[in-house]
Amino acid sequence: MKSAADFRAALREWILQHGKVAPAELLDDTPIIERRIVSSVQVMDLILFLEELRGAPIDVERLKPGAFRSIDVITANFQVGASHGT
Amino acid sequence: MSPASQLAGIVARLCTASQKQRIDPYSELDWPETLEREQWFFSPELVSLAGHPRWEALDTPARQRLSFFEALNFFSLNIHGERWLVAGLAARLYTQSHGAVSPYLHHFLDEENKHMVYFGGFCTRYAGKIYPEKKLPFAREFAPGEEDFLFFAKVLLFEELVDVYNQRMAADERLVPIVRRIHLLHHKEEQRHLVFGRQYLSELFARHAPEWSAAVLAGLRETLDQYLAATWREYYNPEVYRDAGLADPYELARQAFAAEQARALRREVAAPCLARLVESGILEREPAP
Repeated sequence: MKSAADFRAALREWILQHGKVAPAELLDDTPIIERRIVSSVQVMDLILFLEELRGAPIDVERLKPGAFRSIDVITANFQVGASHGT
Repeated sequence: MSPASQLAGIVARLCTASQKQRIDPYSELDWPETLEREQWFFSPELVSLAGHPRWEALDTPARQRLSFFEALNFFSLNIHGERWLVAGLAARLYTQSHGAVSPYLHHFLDEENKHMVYFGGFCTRYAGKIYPEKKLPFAREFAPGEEDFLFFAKVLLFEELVDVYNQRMAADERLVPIVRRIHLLHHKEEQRHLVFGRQYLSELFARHAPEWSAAVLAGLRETLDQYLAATWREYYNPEVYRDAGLADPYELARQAFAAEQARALRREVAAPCLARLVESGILEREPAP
């Protein structure tokens, strides 16, 4: 199981690799969807990445708006043991 | 003939065809009680792992078991596409922007609802589940006409790809008869949806594009590029590989998606549709497969 710090670092790396943002502009509370750093159609790939990272599936039907708002929110929602989507 | 009167003629012809060629999903299919999984449910050449070393290492029964889950995935993603489509069509019925085509939207909506009966019938009867959707739409602001255009463009892209698979698998005599029949029935009605979609998308583009800024047009084209990539990505589902007993399903999905043989298949399947979109000026170039 990955620690919160490892989870956060891997997530940050994924966003930098796939999203439209410079490393210095990506903070843990940067709103990645609102600023269109990650597009809605990229969220599917993000979900698959998070499933692999946490080693457990994500129930998309339970997700609530804002579940992917920022690195902070995603880590809180999807790290293993978190009640994702809240 | 003006584009509007051309569209009106097509709508009238498609409505007549839909009325005359109605398919009853409850009586058209003769469902077997059970299905042995060591049969072909998906054409081996279309299986997402085709050509991958892991595919080459499987014996025929293992490939056939994988083909069952590939079929389950294909039918599941059709259900999700159609749920979204039915909602979008219902929201547009008799609105001012779509009044002229509403007579056909009734048939479109009706037929998509029925398609889910046989896709859902297969998934629930023989697998007891439908693979969950991973696409998530987010609300955002749109330029006038942009949201409608993107809706019909996404519908068309989705259906164009699916129809190639439908046609090939309806004709594949190796496949389980019920699977071939589902592909055939779907193709029969999708043909009309594609005729409508191609014409209506061109009409919407001609109506709205002159008012869109260069930034809106560029954003819209990027959205379609990404939508196409995401749609293809769903054909490489880690849950399929896990259900088929294959190790490292997420890594395998990435490898399968990136494999040259898979790219070639995607390029070949999408080429006619993308060429039409480029020719009509909707896309500037064909997206990379």
